[in-house]
This record gives sequence, structure tokens and C-alpha cells, in this order.
Amino acid sequence: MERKLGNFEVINSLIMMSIADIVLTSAGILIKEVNSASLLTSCLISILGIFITFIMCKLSKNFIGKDILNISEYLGGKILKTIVGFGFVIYFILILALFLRQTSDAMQLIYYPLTHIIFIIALLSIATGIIANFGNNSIFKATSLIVPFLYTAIFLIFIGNTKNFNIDNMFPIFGNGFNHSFIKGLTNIFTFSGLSYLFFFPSKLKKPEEITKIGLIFSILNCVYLIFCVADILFLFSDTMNHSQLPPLYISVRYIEFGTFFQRMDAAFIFLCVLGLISALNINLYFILEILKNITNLSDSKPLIFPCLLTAFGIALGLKQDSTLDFLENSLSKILFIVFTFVVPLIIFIGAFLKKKFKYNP
Amino acid sequence: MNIKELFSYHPKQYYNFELKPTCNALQNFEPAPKQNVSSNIELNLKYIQSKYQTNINSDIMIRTFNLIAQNRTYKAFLVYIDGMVDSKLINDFVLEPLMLRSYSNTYTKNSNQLTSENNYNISVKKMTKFNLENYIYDSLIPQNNLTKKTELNKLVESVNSGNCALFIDTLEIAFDIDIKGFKQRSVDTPQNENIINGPQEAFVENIRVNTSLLRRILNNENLIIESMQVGEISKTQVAVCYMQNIINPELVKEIKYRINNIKLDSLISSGQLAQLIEENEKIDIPTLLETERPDKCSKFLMQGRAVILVNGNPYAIIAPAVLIDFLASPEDTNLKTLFANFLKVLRILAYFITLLAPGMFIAITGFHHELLPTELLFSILASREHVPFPIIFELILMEISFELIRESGIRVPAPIGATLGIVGALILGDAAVSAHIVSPILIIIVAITGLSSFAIPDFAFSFHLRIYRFLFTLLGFCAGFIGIGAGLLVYINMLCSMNSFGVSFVSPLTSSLSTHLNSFFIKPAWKYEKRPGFIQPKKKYAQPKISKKWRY
Repeated sequence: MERKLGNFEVINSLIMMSIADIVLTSAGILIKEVNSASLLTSCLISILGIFITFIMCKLSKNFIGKDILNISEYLGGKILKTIVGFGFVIYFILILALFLRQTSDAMQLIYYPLTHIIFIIALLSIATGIIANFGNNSIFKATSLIVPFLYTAIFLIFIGNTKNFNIDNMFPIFGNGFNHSFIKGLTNIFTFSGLSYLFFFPSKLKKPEEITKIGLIFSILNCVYLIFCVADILFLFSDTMNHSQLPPLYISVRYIEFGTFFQRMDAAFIFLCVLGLISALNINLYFILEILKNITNLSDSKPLIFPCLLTAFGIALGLKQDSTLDFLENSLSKILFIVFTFVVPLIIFIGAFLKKKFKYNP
Repeated sequence: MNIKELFSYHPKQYYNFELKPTCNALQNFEPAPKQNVSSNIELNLKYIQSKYQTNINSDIMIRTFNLIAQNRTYKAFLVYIDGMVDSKLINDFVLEPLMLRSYSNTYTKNSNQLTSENNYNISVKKMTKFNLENYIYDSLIPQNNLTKKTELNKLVESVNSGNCALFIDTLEIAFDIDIKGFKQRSVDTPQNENIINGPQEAFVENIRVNTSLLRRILNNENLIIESMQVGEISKTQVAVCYMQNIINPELVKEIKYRINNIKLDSLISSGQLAQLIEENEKIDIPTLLETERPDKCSKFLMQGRAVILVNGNPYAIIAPAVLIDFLASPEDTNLKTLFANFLKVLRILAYFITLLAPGMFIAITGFHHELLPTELLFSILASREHVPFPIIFELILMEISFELIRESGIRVPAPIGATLGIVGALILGDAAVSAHIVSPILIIIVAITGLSSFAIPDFAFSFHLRIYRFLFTLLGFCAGFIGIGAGLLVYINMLCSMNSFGVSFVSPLTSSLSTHLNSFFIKPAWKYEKRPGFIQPKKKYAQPKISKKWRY
């Protein structure tokens, strides 16, 4: 029998997904887009993120203990459930492939310039596959062990860099203009990437009635994390990081000097990041497998681990050109995030709520 | 030898023995059919003789004699195993009363025993028919542990365990007399779990001595010691000990269920039993704690865990066990909080050094030079200047040499062991550096790793670290920190996937339950209020909020 998850494990898993995304891309993209207004935009995104999470959690409270697939089945039968399920599977596989590619690209650029990327992607995929074979319980427990270290690392990076900070970088405070910073900048809400997974958790929770609490704690922690990351990068760099292909947070670690013994701490940061990124890959894979298991009525999803990973591996290898990768990172993933995290769940929740209302009060 | 023989042909004689499969192979795990004691003593005697094959078995003793009661002679015999019984007890308290006193207790022809009772001043005489069975049980054998048995199989089991069986003609029962008297090791100091501050007693091979050691420490009637047998042939006695008022009953049920459902011929040791009742078959990380210390067992019993003892083994199994238990020393609770915590942190550090140090060294020297100060980096590179081998070869060579020294140090006689270790390490290390086979810095890494592995209190646990260390070394060599990071995450997930009797192996690290007795840092003695929550004990509190009543 599958073990039910505690609130602590769920919050950590959601944060892990966001951390991975923020470290790899979203913090960099946000700063590239809104420049000096990024700190203010982050605050705005944070408020909006908390608000949307609250609304969605409240809506999902009408169906305590039911995940989004169960609710879609209630709304539109097996057909809708299958459509929604496959939609999420495709989205999550794309995210998995993108994660794999971005992580491998960063690693190759930093440490293995002479190694073919296929080996790095293979290493990460194999590790993900082995971990997935240990079962679902281990993924969430391990994530709970790692997230506090990652969270602490971000604060340490922030503290370590304070002496290099240039507060003037946040001016002009509205960046490229109000419209550009706050209207267009709101699309960067995809920094809340963990939110996509929140509505798959209710059926796995020990206390499903506490989903709102989980959602709010996650949003608040995510905001704190985002603001620290963005502030760290913004105060440290002016325009130089726009041209770098490396994750900006990694570059910021290079500036830290902890005495004379440790010259540069970036290797230690990479070590910690690898733990986090593979955990994120595993959480992603877990949801792909769970959705497939749910829509196909399989009793065990283990045989699907390597086919799913191979698919992601193939897609990751196929993303050769920078332009394709840029399009996926900056445009497609944003749109897909908004569709699968806000639009689809909102439609399903509202539809199911109305159906329930009219069913019992015709 | 004559000349004819000298020149004659003698074909070469080869001694050839080949073990062939036996044609009447026995492989039956079903229990033997029941057979009861017969009233005909000859049948019983033949059964015992054939069961023990007394014509070839030299230590099985069958002593036949005559028992006279009521002027009638009954044939009788005793069966026991020489060396397992106390001869003095047999002579003085079994044979003497049966053979000598029975002569003095001769009765008249129609003698029925008379007993009288006084009720309401009326004397009533009851006629009790003479019963040989009761007479022997009540009057002849002055033994505290004497039982009547009807099944021959059970009698044979008792004789095998060191008891003596008494068969008497006409009786359909036999007496099982406890006169065990084999030589055994006395209670001694622990051999492998030494501490400075605390009790210095260790378990021995005899299960009864071990249970008495636990009873002596806990002094409570709630300590239950349930006995069961494992092994179709060996019938090894196994005792499950627990505090009835503290332990979760489901845990006891599960332990008994697993032990009762082991089908094998023989159980020799507690290590073997631990493997048979563990949940994790594919992962070679121990999930049950083994200890030779009764005080450690008592501490865990009071937390709500179970202790399993195996006869013939000086180690007890503690179930369930979690990761932190393997890094705790029995001394922790006896020391001041600060010292105990310092030692615990040191052990946790040793855990990571044992597992990761060689891999990290290879990763840093191969991929992440920037982590080291330039001077140190130059010094490492300079020390490796004359070494012709790749660093991975150097490291694995030294690690294997270290393991060889350690293994040979254990196997050789004790007085030589320590010398061998020191001489081996010093001479080998020095010679390897002088011959430019390895660099001096590598010797330091290997030595620190080796020392750290000795700081892990549990031998089985430290063993798994020694093996996994090689994997991390290879990962560090192949992919630097990324390889080690991926490997470490797999390892963490492996630990997280493990359970020990339904308890997560990484508890309480990932649970929010209050686990004062077993949390990461040790609390002062007056703060052990709650028992570990992850064991779900019946009694949640170990002491009141204020235990130092004298102060408040």
C-alpha cells in the first residue's frame, strides 16, 4: 500500500520544483526581461502567486482528497480525465526533457567542455531511473532532507555576496517602463512552477483538508526564495550576465570568498545543485508515472520508468539549437505553464463546482 | 625389494573420491509425525536407540535400572547427552532417589495410601489409589523443573537441549528433568563495544544467562520473554523480549509472525536470524541493530523496541532500528550532553568521511581544482610528480592494501594483530611513498578514511560504508562532484526507501514527530520526556515534564 504524504514532504517537493527552475532559468529570464525592475516585479509576482494559489486551493476544497484527474473525471467522465491526463503527461515530459537539457548544458559548460552532452544527459537519466525504482516514498523523503540544505545555501550565497552588492543596480526602479515591467513582466509567474504539481497531491496526502495551508506555505517560501535569488543576482551584476550562458546564480557563487582556504565555492554549490536537480527530475517523473498509472489503470508503474526517461532523453538530445532551446525556455514553457497551472485547473474546478452545485440544488 | 619386483610393472594408484548426490536425499520441511510414549518400556527404548543411533553415537547415554515401588519392580531408563548434563545432579537428585529411596518406601500388599482430614471434628479417611506417576513426580524427584511429557519428539528435543528423560515401564508418560550442566563462558566484558563510562557486562552464548542479564537491569514484571524455536533440525531457541506496557503490540505480533514463519534446517547465529527477518533483501545495509551489551538492549526495550536473543550467540538483535541508532554509542546517555553531542557529531562526520573522502579527493584533484588554495594545489601536484600511475590506481591500490591490513589484523592471533596493523601500515605506506608508487597526500587521505571507518560504532554498518566508498571513488573519478552528487542522491534515496519493521530507516530525520530520545542531538537526562514517536509506543512519555522534583 502506498504511504500517504505529510505536509512537510509535500511543501518541500513543491519548493524543490521551483528551486530547480529558479536556479536554472527563471531567475535569469526575469532579470533579462525586466532588468532593474526585477526586484519589484518579483514582489508583484509573489503577491499574485500567493493570491492565485489561495483561490485555487479554496476551489479545490470542494473536492477534498481528490486530485485534478479525479475532479476532471467527475466533470467530464473518463474521456476528459484521459485528455487532461495526457495533456499533463506531455507537459511534464517536456519539462523533464528541458530540465535534463538545461542541467546538462550547464554542467558541460562549467566542467566538461570536451565531453559529449549525451554522456551527461545519460548520467542524469540513469540516476533518475535508479532512484525512481526505489519507489515513491523515498523520493519525497529524500527531497525533504535536501531542501533545507538548498534553502540554507541560497541564504549563504546572499550573505556571502553582500560585500559585492551594488544597490544602484535596482535603479531605475521601473526598469524599461511600467508597462514592460509590470504587465509583460507578470508572465514570469512561471517562477511558481511547483504550483503545477500541487493539485496532483490531494489524493496522496495524510491530511487532504490542509491543502490550502500547504499551498500558502509553499507560495510564501517560494516568494522568499525568489526574492533572495533575484536580489542576489540583480545587486551583483549590471548587464554582464545577459550575455552569459551559465545560470546567473552559479556565477554569483564565484564571487564569494570565504577566507583564504576555499578559493571558490562554486563546486560545492554545483554539488548541492546536482542533488536538487536530480530530485526535481524524479518528482517530475513520479507525476508522469502516476498520471499514466491513473489513466491506464496499471497496478504498477515501474515498467514505465525507462520508456518515459528514454522519451525525455530523446527530446533532450534533440534540442540541439540554441534558438529552439530559447523558444522553449522563454515562450513555449511559459505558455504551457500558464495553460496547465492556471487555465486548465481553473476551468476544471469551476466546472466541477458548478456541476456539484446544480446536481444537489437543481 | 627383490629384482623381479623392481622391474615389474606397477600401475600408478590414484586415490579418487568424488562426492555424488545421495540417492535417498531428504528434503522435508514438514514436522515429523507425532509419536507418543508407549506403556511398554522396550518400545520406548528401541525408539530412543534408533532415533539417536546409539550404536554409533558415542555421547548418548542410556542408563537402565529398576525402580521398586509397592514391592513391584518397574524397569526404567534415563536418557541424556554426556557433556550437556550435570553428572552430580543426575547421581544425587535423580538416580539416588529413584534407586535407593524406593526400597525404603515399600508398601504392604494391598497398600493404599491413607490420608485423613478433619472436618467438623469428624475424622474421614480417604482411600487414595496408588499412582506411580504422581508418586515419582511428588515424592521421588526433588527437581524444580520437572515436566511430564507424552510426545516422544518433544522428549527428544529436551534431551537435545541438555535435559534428561526418564522412562518407566507401564507409564504412558515420561519425565523431562532439567539438569543442564554444560560448560559455558562466564559473563565477561564486551569484546567489540567498549566504553569508558558505563556497565562492563556482555552477553554470553547461553540464552538463559542473557535473559537474566536483562531481567537484572530492568527489574520489572512487564518485561516479557517469549520463547520460540527456529530450525527444523537445530531447534534453536529464540527469545523475543519486550516491555509489555510500552511496546506497540503490532510490532510484537509482526516479529513473532516473521520468526514463526522461517523454514530452514538450522539457525546458528543472530546475524543469520537478522537476515531472515529483515525487510530489505536487495540492499545490503543493515536495518537491525546487533549488540553484545545488555545495558544497550535495556535502553531500547524501555523505548518500546523489541530485543531478540538467539541461543548460542552472544549478540542480541534490536528491532526496529533506524539510521541514527547505528551512529549512537551506548556511552552517549552516560556522558554530559555537550560531550555526548560532540562525539555524535564526530561520528556523523566520520560517516561522511568514510563514504565520500576518497571520492571527493579524486573529484577535487581531477575536476574542481578551484576549491583548493593554490599553494595546496601546487603541493599536491608536486607530490604526485614522480608517481607514474593515474590517481585512481593509486587510491584503489592503497585502499585495498588498507583493507588487507585490517582483515589480516583481525584474523591473526590477538597479540600479533595490533603489531601487524601498525607495522603493516607504517612500513607499507612509507615504502610505497619512497618507491613513488603513491603520493604522501594520498596516504593521509586513506589513513583518515580508515580511521573514520573505525569511529562508526556498528561493525556491519561501517562495513557497508567501506564497500560503497569504492563506488563513490569511481563516480568521483568519472564525473567529479556531479558523479558523486548523483551517487549520493541514489544512496540517500536508497536509505529513504528502507524500512525496519514498518519504521522508516531515516526516521526521525524526515518526520515531524517528536522524538526526544532518538533525535539527532542528545538531550540532557532530565529532558528525555517522550519516547521516540516513530516506534508508536503504547506509553508515550518516559518521564514527567519536571523530572528533577527536588529542584522545583
